[in-house]
Amino acid sequence: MSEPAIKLGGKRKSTFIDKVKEVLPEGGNLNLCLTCGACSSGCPATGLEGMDPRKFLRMAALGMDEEITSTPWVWMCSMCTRCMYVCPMKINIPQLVYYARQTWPREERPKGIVGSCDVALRSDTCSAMGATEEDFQFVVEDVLEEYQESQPEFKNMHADVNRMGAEFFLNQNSREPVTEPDEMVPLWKILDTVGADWTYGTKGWAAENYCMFMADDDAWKHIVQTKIKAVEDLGCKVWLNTE
Amino acid sequence: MEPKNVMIIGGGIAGMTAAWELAEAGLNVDLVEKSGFLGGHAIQYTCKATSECLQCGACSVEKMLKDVVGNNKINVHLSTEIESIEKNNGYSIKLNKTAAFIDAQKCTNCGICYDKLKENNVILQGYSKNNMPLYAVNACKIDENKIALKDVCPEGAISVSDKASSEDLTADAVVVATGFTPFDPNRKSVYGYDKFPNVISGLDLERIKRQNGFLARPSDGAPAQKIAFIQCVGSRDENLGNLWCSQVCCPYALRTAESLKHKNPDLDITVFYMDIQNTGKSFPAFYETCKNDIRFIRSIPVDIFPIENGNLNMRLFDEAQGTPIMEPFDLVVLSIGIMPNSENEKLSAQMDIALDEDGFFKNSDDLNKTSTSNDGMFIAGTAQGPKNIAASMAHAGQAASGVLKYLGVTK
Repeated sequence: MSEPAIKLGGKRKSTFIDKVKEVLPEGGNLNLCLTCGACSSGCPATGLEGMDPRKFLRMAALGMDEEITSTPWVWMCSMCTRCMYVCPMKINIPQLVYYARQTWPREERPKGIVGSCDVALRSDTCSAMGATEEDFQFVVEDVLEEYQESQPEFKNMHADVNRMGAEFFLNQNSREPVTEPDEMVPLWKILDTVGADWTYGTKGWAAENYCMFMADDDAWKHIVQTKIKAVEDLGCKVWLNTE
Repeated sequence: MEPKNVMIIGGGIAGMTAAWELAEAGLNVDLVEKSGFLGGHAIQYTCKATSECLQCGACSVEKMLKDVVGNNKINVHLSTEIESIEKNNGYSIKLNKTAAFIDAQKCTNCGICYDKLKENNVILQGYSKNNMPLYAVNACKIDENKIALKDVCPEGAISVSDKASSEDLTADAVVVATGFTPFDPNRKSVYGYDKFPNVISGLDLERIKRQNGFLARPSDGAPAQKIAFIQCVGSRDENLGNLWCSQVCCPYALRTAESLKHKNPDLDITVFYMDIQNTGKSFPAFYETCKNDIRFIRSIPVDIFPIENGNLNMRLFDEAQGTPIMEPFDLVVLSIGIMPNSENEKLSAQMDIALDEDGFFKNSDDLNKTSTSNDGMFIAGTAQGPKNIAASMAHAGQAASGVLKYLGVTK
């Protein structure tokens, strides 16, 4: 409470929030806020960088565009959309955060997210860690074999790669095949137990999409289209993205 | 000239007030109440005085109930519902009385029926000693308890028949005072009302205080020490389709908190709010006093987790602190709001008067909130929209005055 009072500028400018309202259905309800703070109570990023979802939305509503488009807090949002879920007025705060990210010059956006997006764009695997088609297939087959042998109750378990016509096309976050291969197995066991008809693909296999988190629409679209093509090329009915 | 007859539907504070006003003006009144008791929701509320009266209005319900019961121009029909209502020259009404009920003429209020049949809620006790009779047959329990009901009363005051009995009435005017339905806190699932015993509603709090004389925790009966009130539960919520402010929850939460604190200054009370409905003549001054005794946090919490001993951990965000913290409470009170009566659609069709977009009865004239599209029918109390006790009584008085004008008793 000891912070100095926020001073508002004189003339009202065309504000960032107005532009966002124009592109969202129902204006994202961005002008319906009752300031109840349910968003901030529930947000995992509340308090980071002295910011929280309610404060962010209120500052946007007050036309404090400079603050809104420069706070690094927008990069700490995980896009979980919980703020919108608990909001009594269904206000689309995540989209406001998303468009605030877009105002950042590419070179100033967080290096980790930019780098991960760039790596994913380099190949059809969409892997942000740069794991290749061959490496992925090798790791899956190797881990499967190991479990089939060491756990006889799963000796008939499948973890196919590029099987045409399977019901489900399953994505896999790169982190597991690259650093924690055993972590892939629990989901395989569940799918095996329920008798799901599923496959991985060597193309478009990586579940993550850092280009979305980077708020780069074109790159995000490219990644999604690459994955859709992979699903369609294998003739699968359902695309399971576990992210 | 023969005195006119007025039927009033609903025996809560609004219906009782309208009945009493009209009876005092010399009219004959039939007061029809679906449950076995007069007094509605408001008779359950406890006095919220500290060292001074906080003007909650609870005692005026008690007084009005006494006046109505003692007024021989008011004919009270308990355990009775409207079967049909037709407008011709005035109104012809068919009433339905439950298959079993206690005859007020024979009942001595001895309480034998209640002692023997309270176990499964077959016989209910009224909240006020002024209820006459003090006991009633629970309509939901009649079918499987007919034999027990027949035998239990030494005075033969419990009437038991095969089916509901009907009665015909005529009235020159009708007042609709069918009240509200409290918000069902289970619809806000984040608060775990159905899962955690020590998460209670504002209405539960009133019942607990009335039964125990203090605020006992449902889980173990121990006096609650660290209490959270969460405001606006069910009100001002687009997700639920309830955009209105219920108007009563801020006052009842704050008065209750002050009154609890007056009895036990060691209590630790926090009120989570979005903005305090600080209206009325004395409320701003009262709110200032509250700030000395109560911690106010302007963020509605959304996470409650059970911990040991029935306590509840809450993630709360106090803007003044800057970061969210987890804090334990031993009782959480959800300040639930006023919803349209769940039977409003049925009643609206029966009486041929419209509902507004929120589901309350619609007043046909913006300048007269008791008016309906049906000339001889008037709305009173929370049937029209959220109101506190005093406002319900004033509204009912206005409805009574509308009736008197309509019938040509006054100009």
